[in-house]
Amino acid sequence: MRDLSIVITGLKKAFSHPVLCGIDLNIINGDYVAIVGKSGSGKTTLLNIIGLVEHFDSGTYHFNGARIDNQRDYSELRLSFIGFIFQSYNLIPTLNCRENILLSTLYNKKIPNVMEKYKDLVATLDIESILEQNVQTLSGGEKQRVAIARALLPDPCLIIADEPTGNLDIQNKDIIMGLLRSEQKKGRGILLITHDARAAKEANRCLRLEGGVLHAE
Amino acid sequence: MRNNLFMHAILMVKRTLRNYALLSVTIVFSFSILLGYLTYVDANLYNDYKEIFATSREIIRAYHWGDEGHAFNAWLKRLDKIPDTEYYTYFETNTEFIGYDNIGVTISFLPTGNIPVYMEDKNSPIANDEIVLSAIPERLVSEKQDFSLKKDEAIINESLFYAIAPEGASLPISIRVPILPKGSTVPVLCELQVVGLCADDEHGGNELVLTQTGTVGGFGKIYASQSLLSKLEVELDCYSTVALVVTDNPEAVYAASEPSKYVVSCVFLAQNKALEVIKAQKSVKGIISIVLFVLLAINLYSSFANALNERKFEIGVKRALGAPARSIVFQFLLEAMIIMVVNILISIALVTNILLIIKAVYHYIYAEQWTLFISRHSCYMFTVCSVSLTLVFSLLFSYKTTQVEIVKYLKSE
Ligand SMILES: Nc1ncnc2c1ncn2[C@@H]1O[C@H](COP(=O)(O)OP(=O)(O)OP(=O)(O)O)[C@@H](O)[C@H]1O
Ligand SMILES: [Mg+2]
Repeated sequence: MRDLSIVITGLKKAFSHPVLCGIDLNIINGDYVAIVGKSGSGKTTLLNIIGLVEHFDSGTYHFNGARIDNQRDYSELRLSFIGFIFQSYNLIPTLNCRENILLSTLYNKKIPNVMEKYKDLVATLDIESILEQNVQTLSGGEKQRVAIARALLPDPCLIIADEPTGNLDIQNKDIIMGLLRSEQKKGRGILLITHDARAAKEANRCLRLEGGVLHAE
Repeated sequence: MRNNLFMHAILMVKRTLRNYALLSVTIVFSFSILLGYLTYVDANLYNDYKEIFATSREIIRAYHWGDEGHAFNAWLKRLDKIPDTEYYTYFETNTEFIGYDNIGVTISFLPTGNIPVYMEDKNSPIANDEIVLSAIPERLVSEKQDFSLKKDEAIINESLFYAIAPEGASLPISIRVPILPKGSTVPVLCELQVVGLCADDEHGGNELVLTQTGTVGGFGKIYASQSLLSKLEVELDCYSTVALVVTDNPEAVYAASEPSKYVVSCVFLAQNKALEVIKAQKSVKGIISIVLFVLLAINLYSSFANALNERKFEIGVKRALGAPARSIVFQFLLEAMIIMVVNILISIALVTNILLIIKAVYHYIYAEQWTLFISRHSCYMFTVCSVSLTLVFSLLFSYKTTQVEIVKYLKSE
């Protein structure tokens, strides 16, 4: 597993009102961090900043030693280091499951053993039978599993999951939580946002986002 | 990777066809109107004037009525001094046709062997008294293939033959025509053997038709030999002298003439006039094309913006997953080009088919030969429009993908 080092200090972000008011957070390989907090507390905002798709106002953010600023586009870091699992799946409706999962291969030719990994993922997530299916016709659990396969395919060292079990039944929740756990054991860093206390307990570190800062639970 | 993206762009076009449907309709519709307008105008001009340009500008036909032809003869003398100029003259007179009250004929007394040329000014959009649409060499339709005629031989036009010949008759047949000698009131009857037939005038000038009273009527033409006159030893009373000039210097020949004293019909004048009309049409076409171009551009702008709106989610997801902006730009550049090119080709096919239908309508309903034609100028304008709009909008469309804020278009709850 490639090295992962995320160092965030004093990070601030405001929209019309301040949302994040001095976040300090470190994540390295094998970390499993859960963030909980009230709705509107800024969890998704923080996650988007860490996932390099949202700008921040002040503070510092180092990703694997590189200082992140707001001027540059970090698509390359996103492509090879970060696996995004969205709360609402964000599968592209005009592509079928297979095409959604293999999306990153369009942009990243250097994923090692990609087809092998693809077959492994498909088998582990038990989605062989739906590969050619239109994603719009999938059930919630199936969608989330496809989204997870897509996030894991490029072998990311950081997995960012925004309420990945939000819409799922207990059985599917367990599958996905188990999967995250096993990925963490492989050495990936995991950043999980959840409302679910049970899911939060899975994590090694649980933080509460309140008043724009992170508190240990 | 480029290759992959290329295939991906084609795939995305296929998958989002519905999203592109409105844009495609806009493109096909607008380009068809533009191309249809250009070709229809061109084809109409072309078909209006094709006869003018089909005949050579070297032909000038002049005639002088009556025998006080000093000015006319002086002009013909002057022609000898103009280089590369040849001419011949013949007499022409009108008379009735014995036994048929409703048939009149023009008899031309040709110097042997020369092909007569008549001038046609019907259906001409620019015809007036002086300017003649085109010079049409007389066309033979029977076995006889030349205009060399013996003293008592004649060639008549087809419909005159069918009007006067007994049913099933074949050439030669004999006819009798009265010719009025000078100073006399009693016509000389001369008997002629019809040995050949020439075509009716193209626009039906010499077609003999059934009249209201059930008899055949109209005006026919008879070509006889000049030597007939000397044989009969008559000088015509009412006649005109026709001069057919073939020259490399039609301007000089015309400049030497006095059109106020005799009628001079020049192909080159008609052609010049036609060229003027075409040139004037060109600027009208240019202005209308620019207007259409601007309307098309406005249309395309909003249609492309709509198409992009539908794709912002896809762009947001791809970018969030790490697709570099340039890959997205490349994909959408390709998509836009595919859409533009395919739809422009569809409009070309559509317009061609519509024009073919118009051609068929002209052919079967109006029995007219309507030629499909597009000028180089129009081709040029259409190409400039297509290429510039394709380039501008593909680039604009793909550039706009970089403006998509990733987070904004991701679905979130
Ligand atoms: N693009 C934006 N423009 C303006 N305000 C925004 C924007 N994005 C988020 N906000 C505001 O920032 C605050 C934090 O939003 P965020 O989505 O991070 O909350 P959250 O903790 O993820 O909530 P939830 O648990 O409901 O998902 C909210 O008050 C929201 O209205
Ligand atoms: Mg949220």
